[in-house]
This record gives sequence, structure tokens and C-alpha cells, in this order.
Amino acid sequence: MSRRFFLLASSLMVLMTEAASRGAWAQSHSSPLPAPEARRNFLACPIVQDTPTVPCWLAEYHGELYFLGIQTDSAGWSPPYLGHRVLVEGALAGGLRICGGIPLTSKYPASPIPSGKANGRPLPNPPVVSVMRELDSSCNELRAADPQFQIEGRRGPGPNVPSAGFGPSTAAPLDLKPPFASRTFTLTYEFDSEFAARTIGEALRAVQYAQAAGAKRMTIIGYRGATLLSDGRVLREIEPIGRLRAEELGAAIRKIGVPASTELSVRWESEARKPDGVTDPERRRAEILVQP
Amino acid sequence: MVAPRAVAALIVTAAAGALGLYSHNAAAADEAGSSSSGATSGPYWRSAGEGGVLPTLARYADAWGQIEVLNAGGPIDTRGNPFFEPLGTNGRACVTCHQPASGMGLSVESIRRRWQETGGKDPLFAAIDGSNCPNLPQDRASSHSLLLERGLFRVSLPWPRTRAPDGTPMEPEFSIEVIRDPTGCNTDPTYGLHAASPRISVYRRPRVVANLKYVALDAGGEIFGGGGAFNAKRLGMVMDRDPETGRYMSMNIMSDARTATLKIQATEAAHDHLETRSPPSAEQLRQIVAFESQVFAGQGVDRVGDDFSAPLMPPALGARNLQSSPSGVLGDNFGRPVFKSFDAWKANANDEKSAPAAFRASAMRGYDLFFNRPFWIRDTVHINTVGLGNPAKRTCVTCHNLQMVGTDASAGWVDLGTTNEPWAGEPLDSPSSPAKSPLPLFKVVCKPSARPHPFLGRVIYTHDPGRALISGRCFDVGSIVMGQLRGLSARAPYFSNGSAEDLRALVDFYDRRFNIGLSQQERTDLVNFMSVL
Repeated sequence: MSRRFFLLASSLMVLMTEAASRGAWAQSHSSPLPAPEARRNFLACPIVQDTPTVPCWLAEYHGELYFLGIQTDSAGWSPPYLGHRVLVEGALAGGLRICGGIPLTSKYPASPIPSGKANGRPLPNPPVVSVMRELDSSCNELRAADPQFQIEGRRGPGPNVPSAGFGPSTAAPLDLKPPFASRTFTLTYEFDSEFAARTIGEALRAVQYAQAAGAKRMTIIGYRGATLLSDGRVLREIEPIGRLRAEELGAAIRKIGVPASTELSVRWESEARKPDGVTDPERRRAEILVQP
Repeated sequence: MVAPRAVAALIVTAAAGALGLYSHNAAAADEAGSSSSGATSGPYWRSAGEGGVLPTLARYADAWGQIEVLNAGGPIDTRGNPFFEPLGTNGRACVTCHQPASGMGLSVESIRRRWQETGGKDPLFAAIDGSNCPNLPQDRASSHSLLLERGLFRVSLPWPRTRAPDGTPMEPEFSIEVIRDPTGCNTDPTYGLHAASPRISVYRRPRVVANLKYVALDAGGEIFGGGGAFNAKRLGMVMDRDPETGRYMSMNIMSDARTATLKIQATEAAHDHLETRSPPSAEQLRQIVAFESQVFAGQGVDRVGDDFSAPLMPPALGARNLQSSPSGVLGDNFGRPVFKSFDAWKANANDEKSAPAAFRASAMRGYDLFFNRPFWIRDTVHINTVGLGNPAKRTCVTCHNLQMVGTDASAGWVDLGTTNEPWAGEPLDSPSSPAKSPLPLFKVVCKPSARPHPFLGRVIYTHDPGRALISGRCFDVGSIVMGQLRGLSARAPYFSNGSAEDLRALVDFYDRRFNIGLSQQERTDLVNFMSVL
């Protein structure tokens, strides 16, 4: 396999995602599935379903098994952990079951490179998953490999192919030419996490912008979020998470290097806004406001 | 003190031949003069300040053949070179704990031999860290038992830490309670956690001072095409910088990643281990770093007599290949495998039934297992938590991925379980068990707002909190920066706490830790593979 394969696969992925939204994934031999726009937000133990290649990640909700994604690599989707419950926020992707589960998806791309294929078809973009902070020893189900599940991961369980490691940056190029206006850089987080694992690059961009603009002020604001679950309950993040996000991000920005002329301040909100069950992942965030 | 220059290095441990395959005589190593490779043989020990020349290429007998040490810059006149001269008050030099005959590390075999030859008077056994605690009677072997039995030096760190290495104020996310203190140092009123200047004592193996172009990397220029500011692992952590250049560093030098550059490491080591009264001069630091940056060490001759500088040998083996290969190459892939190809041995296998051919075939199978055999990697912080999920079905090379040395290309601290219970393998205190661990045991309790250790929770029992003593994070408790896999045959025991007495014990630990299910033959193959690195 080559890099060209992955570029091709990436293009196919876009096409198939669009096709999926029109219901083109439905197959004659598959059982009817709920409408694609249906949401599934729930807390559950993740399940590992092994395959002859890389394992699948599943979760059960209200007696139904859902497919979350496959093991990929550290540049791709971040699968859950056994030993912890997982918060799943997604929508039905449509199409065939994968590894026995109904596939879920989200509009938030986990990686610029698709995870792989199931039975020859590109995998949907995964749902948003968040590993809960505390241990739960009841989450410990690893199912033996089933040869009927044919998964082709973009990285298998062994060594990588030469050029598949890290995809291109998805961030838009930063315009560092004057005139400079106030600008906000937003980092999103997993539920209850203060680590901006996927979005920390925005901190570097914010500093670069502040340096170019000779910013007078950088203000970091940490927010606390909540999620509306499909059963109607509201799951709120831990109370200090806004502070933890703001302080963590402030420390990172100081370490990257705040321009000498820039005053850096850090604040946070401790109250979570009312969740809607759709855009909740976007509200688990911190903002960096750069003011020239 | 008599420097045993006349004694050739014949450190043949019981491990040699332990697998019973061959009766190779490690004493076949050159005792004097040059071999066909151009290497000269060397003494098992170099004392601080003894002078003499370290040749361009020297070989020393080890448990599996001969280790070789290459000075890429040519012969080193050690007289006046600050790496070899005692800089402080205890008579030690850098070379005391980074011996050429141990592949620029330090084998426990050479430590024991040095104790016997000097009656424990060598500066190696200095009270400050060459004994279990400075408050013990220094003339007794029992006071140096961790060094003599496991090759461990005392590392004393301030605790609770109030500042990060870059001077930034910090507040640890956890408290530490001493549960067991067999050395007495952590409860000592002068040296312990309740002293006026409280410190914690942990016990660690010295790291290898060779092949450092692969280890002391500039993260902005050499890793992942210049990944730069952030740890490739998925915590959004900003890398430490070289304070002189401002460049982000890979943070793989020390077991706990507390020093970003070789220069900072040398300055701290001079104070902590050599007991200097003032920091080394700029010129001394320049010379130390210059020496360290040009020295390469790897196995040069295997147990069946293969000379890795000869034609038709695998291109990753031997010190000269370590010198000539590029650094910063991610080797977890088929295009650029971590230890390149061993196919040269296939072409060279004229007599498959001969002992040498059987050994090579075994080592090749071991490499194949290392590179290709998946198993479930589970509950390993900074591996399962970096986007792979827990568990992840992967191979050894997932973590040991930097070409030529097998460290982690990104900041490589990992909680493999070597220092944390329940995996550490140390005897647990039990009235019914006579076995006692020689290591301290600490109870770590995470604060309520802290993110807990992902797989051990909020209460952790550990013999060494590792990286967490520097970062202050619960997440990092027990994480240790992985060491390079070169020159292993010359520097047993292994892991930061010396808990694997030989290569077989190392393989057995992994098999137990990850329930791999290796057969006896597979274990032998992996051992033989690692012995040639």
C-alpha cells in the first residue's frame, strides 16, 4: 500500500460519507435501520470485538449493539479504554452493521485520514467518544476474533506501511499579515478532560498570531459542558473542569512563550449551559481571545 | 588504588550459555592489540583520572560475545578530559558510572568485581548515591546492597516539588506516604521526606551514554518531520526546551525526563553524583557533551563469533552502523524497520545445521517476533492512552520505534508496570512470606480534582513514581522513559530498577505483563535477537 492509496481512500471516504447521508449505504440484505439523523448519546461500557486484523470497538445501549470504530493509530480516532465507561455522542450512520454493531457517526472528523474499511466499504467518521475519568472494573469485555468481520485498518496490528503515519494538518493556514483584528481560538475537549489532546495546536496558532499582531492581551476562558443523553438525563462535567482547562491551557501558552508585550489572563466558567444533545461536544471548550 | 589495566575484560556471567545452545567461550575476545576489525581490546574498568587513550574502536568481552565502543572523532586522550577526570569531591568522574566495557552503561557484574578488588573503596561506592543511604556504615557491603545486587544508584529528588524544571511554579496532584523503607533513607530525619529540606529517594540504573544522536533529539527538527512544540502523545503537552537555543527537545535523556539537554544533565550529574562544589566550567561542559555526542556502542561480536564489521552482516549491527545511520527515523514500519534488515544472514547461512547458523536463525526469528507478532498491550499509560485505546493489538515495535536504538520517537515515558504494583514483580510484604523487596514502597494518593492514573486509579502503590516526581501528575505515576536497546549484552540487569537480571528475565516480564503466551523457543529467539544489538 502507498500514500496514494490513502489519498484515494480519503477521497472515497468523503464521497461515501456524502452517499451515506443519502441512505446509499443501505443494502438489500440488511435489516432496516433507524433514520440517519437519529441521535445516540449514552454512557456505557465499551466492548472490544477482535477480528483477524485490528479490533473493533462496540458499546451496548438499550439492548442494541453499536459500532464505534476500529483500532487505528495515534494519529487517528481515539478508541475507548476497557476499565472505564465511555460517553458516546453520535448519530446513526446508516448502512450495514460493522462487527455486529449499528454504525454511529458524527460531524466532527477524528482524523484527516479515514480509519479503514469494513467488508470493503469505507468506515464512517466515528462518533465522539470520551473516556470517563474514574475506573470501572465492570467494563472488561473482550470478544474473541470472529473471521466474519473483515476489517482493513489503515494501520494493521503490525508495523505501519511507510507513509501512513500522520496525515496532513486540517487547520486552515494562519494569516499573519496586518491589519490584525481580535481573534478567538477555540479548543475542544473530551468530556471531563483538561487535556486538549487533539486541539492543542490552536494554542500554538494563538501565540503565533499574538506575536505577529503584537497583541496587548490574551485571555483564556475555560468552560464547563454538559451532555443531553438520549434517555433525557443530563450529564454534567465535573465542577472544576472549566478552571482546570483554563489553567492547563495557560501553562501551555506560557511555556510556548507569551510575547513580552502581551498581558495574559486566565478565567473560567463553572456553570454548564443547557445541553441540546447535538452540539454539546463543541461546548466542552476553552477559548483564547487575542486582542491586538 | 590499582587500576587493573593489565586485566582484560573477561566478564563472563552465568548468563552466557545459559540457554544451553552453545559453548562459546567469551574469553576468546582479544586480550591485547588489534583484531581484524581494527578494534583494540580494553580493560573492564576505567578509573577516574587514570589517564590513557580511549582508542577509536575498542572491544570488551561481555556475556554474549563482545561489546564495541567507537569514538567517531578518533582516539580520546582521557588525561584532562572532564568526562574522565574527577571533577568533584568524591573522586568520581562521569566514566565511573558510564564504563566503555559496559557499553557506556554499568553492568552489575563489573560493580561486584570492583567491590571485590577495592574492598568497597572505589569512588563508585560513594556514600551520596552509591550506598542505600549516606547515613549507613559505608564499609559494609550490606549498605551498598542495591548497587551490588541490582546496579542501582540512589536518586534523591526534592519532594513535594514546587517548581518544574524550567522554574515554573507547580503543585503536585498527589501526596506520597512511605509504606516500606528497607534502606531507611525515606524516613531518615536528614535525607527523608520529613527532613528540613524534604527529599524522596528512589533507586535507578544509570543510563547509557552512547548513541546519543538518537536520544538527545531536537524534537522540532528531527522527529516526525519537525513535529516541534507538542508531545506526539495525545495529552497536548508542550515539550521542554533547550534554554540556550529555544528548541523543543525530545525529553528522552533521563529516566524521568527531568533534563532536556546533555549540558543540563552533565551540570546536574556533576553536583548530584560527583559532588562538585561549583558547576563545571563552560569549557568542561563543552568537552563532556562533545565526547558524549561522538561515542557509539553496540554489540560487535555475537556469541558464535560473528564480527559485525565483516561483510554480509545485518546493516543495523555494530557501532559503526550506529555512527553512520541517520537519527530521528521512525522505524515502526515496513519501509524503514527499526533494526533494518537481518536478511544478510539468510544469504550467509551456508550450513544451516551449524551452531552459528542456528544462532543466527534464532536471532532472526526473534527480530521477526519483535517486529511482527501482535499481542494485547493493555493498561499501559502513554501507550494505550495516546490514541490507540485500551487494549491495543500491536507489536513490540509500536513502542520501541526509533530506528537503530528502539526507544520511543516521542517523549518516551511509559508506565509499563516495572515500578507500580501489581505488575512490578517485587515481593509483597506478607507475614507468611520470607521474601522482602529491597526497594521502598510508596503509597500515592491523588487529589480529588486531579485526573487519576488511568489504570490504577487514585491510590497507587509504587516503588518509584518516575516521571510523576517531575511533572507532579497522577497520570504519570510509574512512568519511566524507556532506555535504548543497544549494547544490552554488556550491561545487565535491565529496567530502571534492575528488576530483570538478564535478557531472559526481561522477556519473561513482558510475557507475564501482557499475557503474550510466548513458547520457550520464542523466548530464546527474542533473547538471542536482543543479545546481538
